[in-house]
This record gives sequence, C-alpha cells and structure tokens, in this order.
Amino acid sequence: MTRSTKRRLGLILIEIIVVIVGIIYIYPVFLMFMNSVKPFREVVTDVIALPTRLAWETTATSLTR
Amino acid sequence: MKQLGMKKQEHIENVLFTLPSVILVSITIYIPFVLSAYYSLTKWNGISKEPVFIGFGNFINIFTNAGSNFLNSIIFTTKYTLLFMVVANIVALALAVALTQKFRLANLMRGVFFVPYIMSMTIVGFIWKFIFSQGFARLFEMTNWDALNLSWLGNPNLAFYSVAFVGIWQSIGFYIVLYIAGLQAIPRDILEAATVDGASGFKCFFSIVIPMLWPSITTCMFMSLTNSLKVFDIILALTSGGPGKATTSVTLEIYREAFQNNNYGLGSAESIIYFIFVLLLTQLVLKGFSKKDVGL
Repeated sequence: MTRSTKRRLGLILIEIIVVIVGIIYIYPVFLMFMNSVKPFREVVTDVIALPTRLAWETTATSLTR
Repeated sequence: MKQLGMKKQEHIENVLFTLPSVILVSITIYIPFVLSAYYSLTKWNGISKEPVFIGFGNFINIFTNAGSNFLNSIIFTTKYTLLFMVVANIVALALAVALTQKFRLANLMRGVFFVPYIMSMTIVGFIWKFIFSQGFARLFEMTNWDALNLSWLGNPNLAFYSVAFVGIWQSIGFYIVLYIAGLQAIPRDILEAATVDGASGFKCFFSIVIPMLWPSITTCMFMSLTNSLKVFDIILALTSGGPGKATTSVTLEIYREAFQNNNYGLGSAESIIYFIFVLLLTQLVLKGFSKKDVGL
C-alpha cells in the first residue's frame, strides 16, 4: 500500500469517526427540536421516537400566551 | 513654558477621557466589592436597614460550624474544575486536530460542534434533565442495557459526572475554535520538513504541534479554569445542587446563603474567601504555564 493510499484511507477513517461523533454530539439538540413539534401524548409515551405528525400547537401557544 | 502647558493640557485630557470608564468600573465592580468586604464583617439579612458589625464572626462560622456546606462545595468545585479542564481540553484538542484535516464535511462538523455553545445554559440543563430522566429510561426499555438504567441525577457520585459531562458538552465548541485557530497558525513547512526527515505523525504532533500550540493551550486552560470555577447555571438547571448537597458548587452555595437563607453577611464572607481562593489558584496556574512558555 502506497503512502498516499494510506493517507487517503486515514482521512476517510477520520471523517467517518468525526461524523459519527458529531451526530451523537448534536442529537440532544435535535431531540429538543423534535419534541417541540411532537403531539404531547407522543412526548410522554416515547421521547426518542420520530413524530407521527408535526404538531405546531405548542409553538403557537408559546407565541400567543 | 509653552511645552509645559501643553503637557499639562494633555494630562488633563487623559484624565477626562479615562474618568467615565473609571467611574463606571468603580460603580459596577470596585464599590460592590468593597461593600461586600464590609458586609462580610456584619450580620445582615439583606433587608434590615442596619447591618450589625460582628468582626470575623462569619469567617469563624464558615470554618467551625459543622452545618456549613462551604468546604464541601469547595471540594466539589475543585473536583469539577480538574475534571472539566482535563477532559474538555483533551477532547477539544483531539477534535480540533481531526477537524483541521482536509475532508468534505469538515466545515459542517465545525458548525455542529459549536451549536451547543451558543445555547443558553438553562436550556442545555433542561434538555439534559429530560434526556437523563426520560430519554435514557426509554433507551433502556429498548436495549435492556443496565448502564442506561442508572440514576444519573439521583446518585451523588453519578450526578457529579453527569453535571461535569453536560458542562463539557456545552462548552467544548468554544475550545475547539481556539485550538483550530492555533493549529492553522502553525507553518506547514516545519511539519513538511519534519516528515521529510522521517518523523512519524506522533513525533510531529508531540515535538512540533504541541510546543507551537502552547499559547492556545495556555489560553484554553485558563478559560476552562475560570469557567469551571464559576459554574452555576448548569447545576441550578440540572440538579439544583442535589441530591442532598452533592453537586453544590461554591457559587450556588453563596447564592443560597445570601439570597435564599437571607444570610447576606455570611454569603459575602464566603464570596471573599472564594475570591482569595480563585486569585491564588489562577496565579499558580498562570505561573506554571508561563514557566513552560519560557522553556520553549
């Protein structure tokens, strides 16, 4: 294996690791946004699942209250 | 004679220009500090008109009263600071090194790691409280991994690590930016010359990159030291100092004593002691790092 191939493979490995770490790192922020547009019942029953529908009621309530 | 008059006028101008800043800084920092030093020698609840002068009674009370939590909060804050400084700087440096490599998503990833830093500590505390309580419980239901079923904020030992973890998670983006700036300032030709001479990647990193990055390391170490010594809002949002008083930092202890227990004099005494503690610690750390700087 040549030096440049080794370097390229190393870069790909670093990229994969950084992207995985980045996804885990940003997940709590994503979770906050996701739960803000989830119907309340779904937030209570399953906090990590994706919303079945986008519920903008809470956003509207927070803006108008 | 004319030159002397000009000098005098210049001096008056200097005084006039600096006076507003001096007055502002005095009103916001120096006068409250001197008043705080005075209140530390009094018994005062912060409401009554006349504070009662008691000399060093508050200071004696802090060190002799078995019910005082101040020394425990100093121990907690010291442990937190050590963990925060070491982990935040090592992880930030590792990520900065990775993010300065040339790959397609590098810029996007830099943004990703910076996002938590621009969020309010209270919101960060709220998110993580939610994850530690409900998020991990749901993950445990799905995976049956025992590690996810621990009481992350209810167990005194785990609560310490949880609080430290959230603090590191929130602030790491800032240190990454500082390290990236430092790494980008290192001349490429030195690294290329070392590579041509047969130096391995590790040798280059520890013998060239780290010494040349030392000003950034000093800055990050100092910033992480001061930020962790001031930790307050993340603990208030996550655990409120609990369980019991296991995660009460000094700043939270001072806040509680002064504004919740209405012992303004005792709170002021605690803040004066902490001021001296922080002053000595930062001077020690700065001296240690500046010695290393000279040795380069």
